[in-house]
Parts: sequence; structure tokens; C-alpha cells
Amino acid sequence: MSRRALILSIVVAVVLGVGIYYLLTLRRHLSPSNANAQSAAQTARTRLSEAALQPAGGQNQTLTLYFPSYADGKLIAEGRSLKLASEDVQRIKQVLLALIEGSHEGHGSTLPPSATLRAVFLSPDGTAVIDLSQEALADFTPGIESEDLAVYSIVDSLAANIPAVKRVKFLVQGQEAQTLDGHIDLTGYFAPEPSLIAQTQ
Amino acid sequence: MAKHIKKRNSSSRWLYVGAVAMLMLLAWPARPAQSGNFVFYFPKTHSILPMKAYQNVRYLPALKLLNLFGHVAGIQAKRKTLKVWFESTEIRFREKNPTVRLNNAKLRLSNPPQTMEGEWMVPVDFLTEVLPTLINQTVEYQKGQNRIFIGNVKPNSFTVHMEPLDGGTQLTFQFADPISLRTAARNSRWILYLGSHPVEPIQSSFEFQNSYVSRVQFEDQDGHPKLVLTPAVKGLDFYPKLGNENKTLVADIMKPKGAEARSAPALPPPPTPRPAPKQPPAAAVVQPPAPVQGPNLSLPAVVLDAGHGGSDPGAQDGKGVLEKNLTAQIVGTVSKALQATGRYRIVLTRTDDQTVDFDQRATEANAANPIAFITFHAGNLGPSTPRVMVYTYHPSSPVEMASGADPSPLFTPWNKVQLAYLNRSRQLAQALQQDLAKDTGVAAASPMEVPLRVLRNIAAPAVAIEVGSLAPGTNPAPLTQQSFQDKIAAAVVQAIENIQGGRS
Repeated sequence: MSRRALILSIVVAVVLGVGIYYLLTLRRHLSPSNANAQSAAQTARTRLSEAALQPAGGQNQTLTLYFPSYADGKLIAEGRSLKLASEDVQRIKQVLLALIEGSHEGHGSTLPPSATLRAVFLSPDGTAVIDLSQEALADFTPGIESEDLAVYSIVDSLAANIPAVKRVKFLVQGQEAQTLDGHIDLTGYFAPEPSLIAQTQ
Repeated sequence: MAKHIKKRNSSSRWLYVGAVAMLMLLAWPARPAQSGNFVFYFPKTHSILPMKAYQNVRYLPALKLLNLFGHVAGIQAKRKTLKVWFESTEIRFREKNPTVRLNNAKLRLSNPPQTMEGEWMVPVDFLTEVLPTLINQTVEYQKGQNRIFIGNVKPNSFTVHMEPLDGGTQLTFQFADPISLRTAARNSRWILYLGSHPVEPIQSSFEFQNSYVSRVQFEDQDGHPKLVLTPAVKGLDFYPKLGNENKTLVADIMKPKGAEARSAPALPPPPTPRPAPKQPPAAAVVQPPAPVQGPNLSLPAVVLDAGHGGSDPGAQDGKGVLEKNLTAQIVGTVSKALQATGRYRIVLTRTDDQTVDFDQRATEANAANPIAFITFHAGNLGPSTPRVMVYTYHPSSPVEMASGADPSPLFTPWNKVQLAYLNRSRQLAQALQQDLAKDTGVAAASPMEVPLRVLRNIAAPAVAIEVGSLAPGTNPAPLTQQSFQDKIAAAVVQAIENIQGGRS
């Protein structure tokens, strides 16, 4: 083979190689495999749970959690003793996981036990961004009152235990959602709503 | 030896051809494509030029374009340049150079002129950047449109309004100037020719979510302004008529009312337009041009919104009772009760098991300019059943509230529309709650204020009524009982009468 032909064949091989590589990356971009996405979600979930459940040093503190009471459309306070993390973001995770765990005193549930947190952020202006998984909503019992109480159960519980949290923004699967499950508008930011908390006698 | 060399040469030649072909494929240039017509409206006539699209830019043939506006005295075309003597101006185009020279002045286009299939083409913005300096006439052109108005041409315009009718829907087109009307049917679509006067639509396409008409499109690609209505299903009747000094075009799209009235002329498969009464044969004259049993438009409207629908079932009891069906059932009962008073016009945001999003519900409701909007839901309201809760809107964030309460906003943002009606919504909720407590004996203490998405964009007093509990493990039987739903209907009628009567 002449030198020229050799160069040409190398050029053709390189062009072909680049083309095939480009097509493959394009395909990967267009349809990320489900398995990948699932395992990523699983990893994120595990990491989040581990982080939140890591025992922090120091003594137990009492969290104030608010759970829905559907009978009177109010939030009922419930104490929960936990070793609280020192960082605010970790504390937010702890409060959320405690809410998902449910009431120990038989009140209504905020989010179903299948609910998972995909991510939690706290911005310097006091906005806590909570990214919920889609599965969390699949087992949710929809309704105007139940959604309203669920949302404010989270917002009021966070505000009560983490003073840095001034407002809450909810995401579902990493994206802004129109509603939690067909009713409550999630496009805005939620400020605490103390008027929903039942007054204890 | 010589043979060997020859063989090597031929194989390398094929490799060479392959490589060139591949490079050509990679660098294959974008090709211009035919892209409809551009219409030029002059005071007494109109002209049409074909457009070509090249890399998302619309181009017009330069010489044909100039010929529309004056006399082209001569041209000098070279490979890369074109000189045109147009009236007293020498115009110079240079390919792939966005600057156009008029005598010695330079004007810049957004995209350079191109030759396409041997023809010099200029981008559409030539009409706004260069043309006004070439001709002594006013040029009116709206960016992005395929029509331009030259000289003293005042285009007509229109707004569209949709109103549900009993067994149909009514589209009202309000024109600024009088029109003439001629109808035709083609490809299962109704076509309304609007006369020869040019029309500049504010919006050229309208999509609807209902069971009668799915789309209204304004078209004038052939220089004849017309509206093309696409019915949602086949077999509907269409009654267009002109009114208000030929400025209002009202088109009723109705389900056929009993085949016997029109059994003699066989119905063609595509929907047939039935023009205004006096035109064609006797059979058509029998048809009333306006709906006989249509709602009285002068009555105040009440919008009833059945929550969820279509692919969104809402809450369920786990044994087959779905929120979307229950809310539709309740809306039916309430609608009948309100209609029986003869004092209200009922507007439903969905009439079928269809998916309707929040904005569509709000659009439908706001177009009716109602005295009240009531959305019906069912959900988890705890163990005691039946219960009824009444809700008004409350923004999730107090910041929103503060800016929304601006006393004299120039424009109200779409997502803050309800804030202006909050007081009246609360009055309606209060009235409802009191009447529900009286009639059903199951209402909760006082109305709640929640950031309810469906109420956010409603430009009217708006409330939500939730019945419960509809959740797994609860007994939904009390909610489906007619007597319970009749009580809700009676309470709604009473509350509406109360707010209409001025009671707070």
C-alpha cells in the first residue's frame, strides 16, 4: 500500500471513529438508561438517609414536629427526642425523616412512608429547598385539606426547629411542580403558617 | 510491476473517493426550502410572493419584490454582486454581506442576501430596513408575520370569545371594521371568508379544549383573509351569522338536533356550513340561525369546575369511586339547581371525562366574566363522613401578598389575578359555609384559606368545596347519595342568591 493510501485510510478510520463515538454519545444523551437513573436515585437516597441518621455528638434534644389532624384541619405538635446534627442542612434532613417516619401519638401522616428525599439545600437567604421523589406522591392521599396540612406540617416543623429556615421551596424529581397532588400550588415559596397550629389547652 | 502499481492506485482512488464523500456529507450545506407565501396589501389590491426559508430566516426574491413597488430600470448581476437601478436609486447587494448600498448610503440587514437557485433573495427584514427609504409610502409590518401593509391601508382586526351553549358552543368574533361573509367546507373544516379587506390578527391561531371546536386559525396566504375552524368531532352543525353592522360574527357549533328535521337533504360526511338564513334552500331556512334554547347571555354567569378529569382521577376510595366522577356528578346536580332558578347562566369548565389543565380552566372561567367560580373536590377529611369544607385562595408566600395588594397595578400578573377578588371570595365562602351548615348539617367550622392552584388565576370571586372523606378505607356511600348532593346544590344556590342580594 502506498504511503498516500495509508494516510487516507488512517483519515477515513479517524473520521469513522469520531463519527461512531459522536453517535454513541448522542444516543446516551437522548435516552439515559433506566437502570442508571434508578441506581443513581437509589444511591442518592441511601446517602441522604445515612447522612441524616448519623448520630451526632452531644445530648438528645427535643424536636417539635407538627402532624396533621384531619378532624379539625389543624396541625398538632408532637415532641421527639433526637441527637441533633450541628449543621442546619443535616437538621432539615433529620426533621423531614422524622416527619416521614410518622407520628408516635397516632396523628395523621405528613408524607407516606414510601416518600424519599432526593436532596435538601439551604440558601443563605433562608430558603430551604426540598426535593421530593415522585414515588412520595404516588402513595399520598390527595385532597385539599390533606395537601395543605402536609405542606405546612413540613414548613412549620422546619421553622420551629431550625431558625435559619425562613421559607420552603418544594421540588418534585428535581423540578418545580405545579401542585403536590393536584391541589396545593407548589410554584411559590412557603412561609411558616402558625395559624394552622392547634392551640394546646 | 506496472500491473501491481495500477492495482494499488485503484484501491487508493476508492479510499480517496470515500473520504471526500464523507467530508461532503459532514459539510453538507443547509438548503433553502419553500416556506409559504408573503402577502403585500396595497390600498386597492394585494400581491403574493413565495418565500424561502434558509437557516430559519425567511427570504423574498429581490427583483420580484422591487417590481411590486416601482420600475426597475436595469440590473447588472455578477457572480457575487447585484446592482439594480430602481427608480432613481442604485441598489447594490453583495452575497453573504449584510450591508446594502443605496447610492452611497449603507443600510444593514440582519442577514446577508443570498442567491438561491440562481435567484437573488433578500431576508424579510429588507421590508423594514431598506424598503421605507426606497418608497415614499408608509409601511406597516409586524415582526414575524407573513403580511405587510403598504400605503394608507388600515387592516381590520378581531377578538375571539367562546361561550358554551346547551348542546354546543358559540364563537363570537368581534371585528373592528365591518366584514362580509362567505362560507365553505373543505377537508372536514369550515372556512369563513372575511371579504377583501386585509386583516391583521392579534393572534392567528386559537386552540380550544372542548368537544365542539378544537382550533380556529386565521389564514391569508392566498391574499384572501379567512378563518378556518376545525371541529373537534365530525357530524356537528355550524351556524355562522353576521350582526352588529357586520362587525360581529357569531358562529354556533351545535350537536345535530334530531335527524328528522333535516332528513330530506342527505347530510354530507364533513360538517356543512349553514350560512345565514336567507341564502340557500328551504331546508336550510327551516333551521333557526340562532340557538333556540341557548343561554341568555345577559344573565350573570356562574362557573362550576369539576375537579380533576381525564387522565387525572384525583382521590379514590380504593373500591372504584373516583374523585373525578364524583365531582362531575356533584357539578351536574348543582348546575341543574342553579339553572332551575332561571337567574344564572352556567358555564362548565369540563363537560366530559377530559383532562383540563389549570390554565385552561381559568381561561374558560375568566372569559365568562362570572359572578362566582366554584370548584368541587373530594378528599381525605378525616374519619367522620360526610364532611364539607369550603376554601378560598391564599398565596403561599406573604411577599406575593404584599406586591399583589398594590392598589392600582397597571397590569395584574397572571399568577396574582385572584388576589384582587379575595374579599369577595371570602364573602362567598362565608355565605356558602353558613348555608352548608344549615342545609347539610355537616360543614366544618369556618372556611380555610389555602394556596389552591386552581383558584390562583380566577378573575372572579372563587371558592373550592371539598367533600369527604374519599380515601382508602373510608366509606364513600354518603357522598354519592343524591340527597347529600341536593343539599350541597341548595346551599350553593342560596349562597349565590345571598351574594347577589348584597348580603355579606
